[in-house]
Amino acid sequence: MTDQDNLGEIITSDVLVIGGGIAGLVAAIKAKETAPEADVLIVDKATVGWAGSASKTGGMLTHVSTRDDPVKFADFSQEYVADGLCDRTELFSYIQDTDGAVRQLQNWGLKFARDSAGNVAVLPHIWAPYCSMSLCDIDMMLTLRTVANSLGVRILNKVQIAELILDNGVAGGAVGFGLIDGRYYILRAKATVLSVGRSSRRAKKKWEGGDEWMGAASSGECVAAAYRAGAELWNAEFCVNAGFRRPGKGRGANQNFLFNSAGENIAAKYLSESERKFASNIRIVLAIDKEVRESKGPVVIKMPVNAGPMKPPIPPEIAQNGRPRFNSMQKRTAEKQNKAVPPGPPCGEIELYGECGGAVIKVGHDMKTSLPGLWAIGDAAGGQSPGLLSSARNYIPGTGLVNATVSGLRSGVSAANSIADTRLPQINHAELKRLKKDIFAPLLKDIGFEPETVTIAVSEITSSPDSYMRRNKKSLENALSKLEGIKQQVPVSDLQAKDPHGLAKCLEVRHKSLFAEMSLKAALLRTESRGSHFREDFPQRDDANWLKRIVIKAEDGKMVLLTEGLSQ
Amino acid sequence: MNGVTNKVEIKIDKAVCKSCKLCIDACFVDVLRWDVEKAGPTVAYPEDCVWCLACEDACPVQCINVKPPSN
Repeated sequence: MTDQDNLGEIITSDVLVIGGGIAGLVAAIKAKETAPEADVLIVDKATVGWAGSASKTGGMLTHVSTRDDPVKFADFSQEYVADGLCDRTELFSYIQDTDGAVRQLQNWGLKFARDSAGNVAVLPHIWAPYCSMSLCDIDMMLTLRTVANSLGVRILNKVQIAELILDNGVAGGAVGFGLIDGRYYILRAKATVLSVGRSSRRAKKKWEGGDEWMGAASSGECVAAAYRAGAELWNAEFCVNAGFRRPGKGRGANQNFLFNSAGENIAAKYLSESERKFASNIRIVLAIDKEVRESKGPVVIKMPVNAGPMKPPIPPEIAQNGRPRFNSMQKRTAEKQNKAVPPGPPCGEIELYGECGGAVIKVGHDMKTSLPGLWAIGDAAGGQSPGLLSSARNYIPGTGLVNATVSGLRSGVSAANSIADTRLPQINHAELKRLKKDIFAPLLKDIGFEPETVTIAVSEITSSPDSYMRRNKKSLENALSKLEGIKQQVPVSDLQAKDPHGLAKCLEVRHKSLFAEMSLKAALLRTESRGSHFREDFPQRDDANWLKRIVIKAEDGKMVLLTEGLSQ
Repeated sequence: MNGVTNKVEIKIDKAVCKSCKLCIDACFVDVLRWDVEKAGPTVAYPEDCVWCLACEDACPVQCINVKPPSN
């Protein structure tokens, strides 16, 4: 319907799920299963079924099966992944839910890799001990969409959400615009579930940057919207993406074959046995940087022709059995990649890359945020478990999909159970008009900045090694001061767009400096080194003072940072 | 430093295309759009293609070719 002021298209629902990737689809299905009478709507800027990052890159599910030891896996996760900073009770609760989450996906009809006897293959994990992995096909979202449709979940495609709407301090849905029709959409809901991907890394062109490719279309615009609406965020200091690559080559390289100018093996010199065996990110980056700064560069990669892969491969007879879509995409990608970047053992000088900026929405056990009426799930609430493994010292592949599923299931039940006692939010016409004017402003500008201008300007600060890697008080204060300058030089109020597609791109960069500010300020406050956060002036982990999170929230338009102890 | 150029070329063989719109659904970065006048898919925003190849994979008649970037 259109409202009487002709503001835009008003659509009401009981549960509004923003983002139709794996987490959003799981949440919507579970909400509908919990409360069949509930009106559940998924909105996505792409098309549900193909939306979300997992449909491009996913397939691995890390879970603790009946043959694994959940206590040992919790110990390993707490130290190896979270670097000590996690809520043990919540972590254990999450771990215990992982096996059921994978079984739930099987019950909904997802295709899984199978062994020769035709059973779903549950393999020992190749990147982490004390856990298992299963492999599903990458058309999982199409299967889940079919389930959602059969239950009566409604889907609204090609609508970009820009802001959340509030009714007396309670989340009451969202507003946005149609990418095709350019209309203003007002989505009113009793419960709002954000499943909008992470805030720190959007998909770049494949093979371009050398680092792992992300299939995410979100750059965190809805995480920023949640912050503006009053939801608390955290983990900004740990939003660091860093790695190494060979200049001119788009392929990753094995960390165990890096050597300094004296011929010393970098991994052997700096990494623990488990870090060499599994994977490490910031620790190897710091080691390379240290060697170069101590005049032991350049660091080169010398990978023997017959070195084999870094990890034992998944048996192909299992990996390729039962996943037709995954296989066709693998073949297609390999053919094109070989043309773009000729294969061969990586040899030669390497360089570092990195960037900081981002934050995660703070959630509790049932994925409720600090803003009443709002839930956050999947990568938006932390990619490796529901907001618990905050510091990301290392990453275990396959945790994203399972985290999305566990958090989706929890939020679906919680959101569905909340609607009986909740009324639809009141419409504040003046506020909706103000938001509309703000969202569509770039379309009215004859001259202004291209969105890319903002990205380049902010990235100059966030991709400086002093910002993302070897931080210290002076470098962080410097970066924050430069950021203020950028905000003046490239004000987001001067962004210009020609059409709704361009408008979406403006929205994706509007919060670049906001997330940069969060990461830099949190990094300045955390006077220790932990996980992906490294302070030159405080190089040690400090459990006596820093077993706590840094929470960020907006108060009267100002960014406020607080610390919060772990609930053990 | 980029190892490859940013230039992307997406070819759609209109003679083979069945106008099923699956490629448009599959494109998560809004590069492909439906051309109402020509009643077929069109490459509206090639600069935003991230070479995910989902459109190629979704196409039931294999009429799309995302040409790989060259070194």
